[in-house]
Amino acid sequence: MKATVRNTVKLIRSDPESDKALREFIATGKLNSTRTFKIRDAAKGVEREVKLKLIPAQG
Amino acid sequence: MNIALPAILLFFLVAPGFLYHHYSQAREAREADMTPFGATAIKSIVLALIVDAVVGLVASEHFGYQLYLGDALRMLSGGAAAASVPPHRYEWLNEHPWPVFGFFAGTFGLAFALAMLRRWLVSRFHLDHPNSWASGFFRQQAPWYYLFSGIDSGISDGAMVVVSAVVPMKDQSYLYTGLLEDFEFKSDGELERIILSAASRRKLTDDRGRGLEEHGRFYPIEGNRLVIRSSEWTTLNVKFLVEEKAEASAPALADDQRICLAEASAPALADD
Repeated sequence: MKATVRNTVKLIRSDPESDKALREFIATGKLNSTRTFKIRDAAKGVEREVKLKLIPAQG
Repeated sequence: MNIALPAILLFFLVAPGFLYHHYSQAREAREADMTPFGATAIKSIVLALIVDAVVGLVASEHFGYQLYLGDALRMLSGGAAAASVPPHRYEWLNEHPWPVFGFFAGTFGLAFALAMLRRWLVSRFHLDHPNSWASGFFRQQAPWYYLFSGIDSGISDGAMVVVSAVVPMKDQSYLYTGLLEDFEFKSDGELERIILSAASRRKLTDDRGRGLEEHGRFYPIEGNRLVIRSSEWTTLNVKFLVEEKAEASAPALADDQRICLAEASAPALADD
């Protein structure tokens, strides 16, 4: 069953250095911390910022 | 060629219940549902009987048709009982075939409409949330689905799942972490394996004598997919990665500035 993976994350992962930064954030980022990635959407020809945040799985 | 007409009729009578069961829940929830087949079959048959009764009632009250239940039972019984149905009933069927098709179309249509209504109500009012007053009725036995979808956490759609798993290997344990891409179930509904992307790992023993702020001990795993079977991990930690809207759009960037980490203090991963 597929889990949700947003297109912005796929764009981040398409760049080797961004992918490395994302791995680092996933591995070492603290809960409720945010990190900003700048991505280039080649299909739309634009660059923009994407802010990702780690949040806990609260029941 | 002999055709088991009673079996076919019975199938068409109970099929609306199974149609309802199939469409009343999202495919993800249905695949993860661990409800025993017997319970599902009983619910489906009961619902089918209700739908059949409602459509039959509407047909008799609003369209003037009369249900000859005794003859219907004889037809369902087959054999000599079916032969005892008065011939003019069959002659009426010859002359008016469409009401029969209309009845079954009505039952199937009503079951589908009820299924869509149930899905909408559950989604709109979060009836399957554990804190909902109706969760006992609408919540399914699909704990992994509810965990990974963020429903139990009250997280909106689009949240991505970050998983950390402790995997013992020989004399030491490793901590694997990554973005959950895919997960598969066993036949009993339990997790069979998870597939991670953007995965990293480190030895748990590296924690000894080091501060919590020291992150260099993680190193990335080459490749796009990492498969970990449920038999390999001992504990699983789940958190979510959500996208927040940036305050302002970024101007065009030079190639050497494409990646910028807002947190200047974030350390880099150690290359292995």
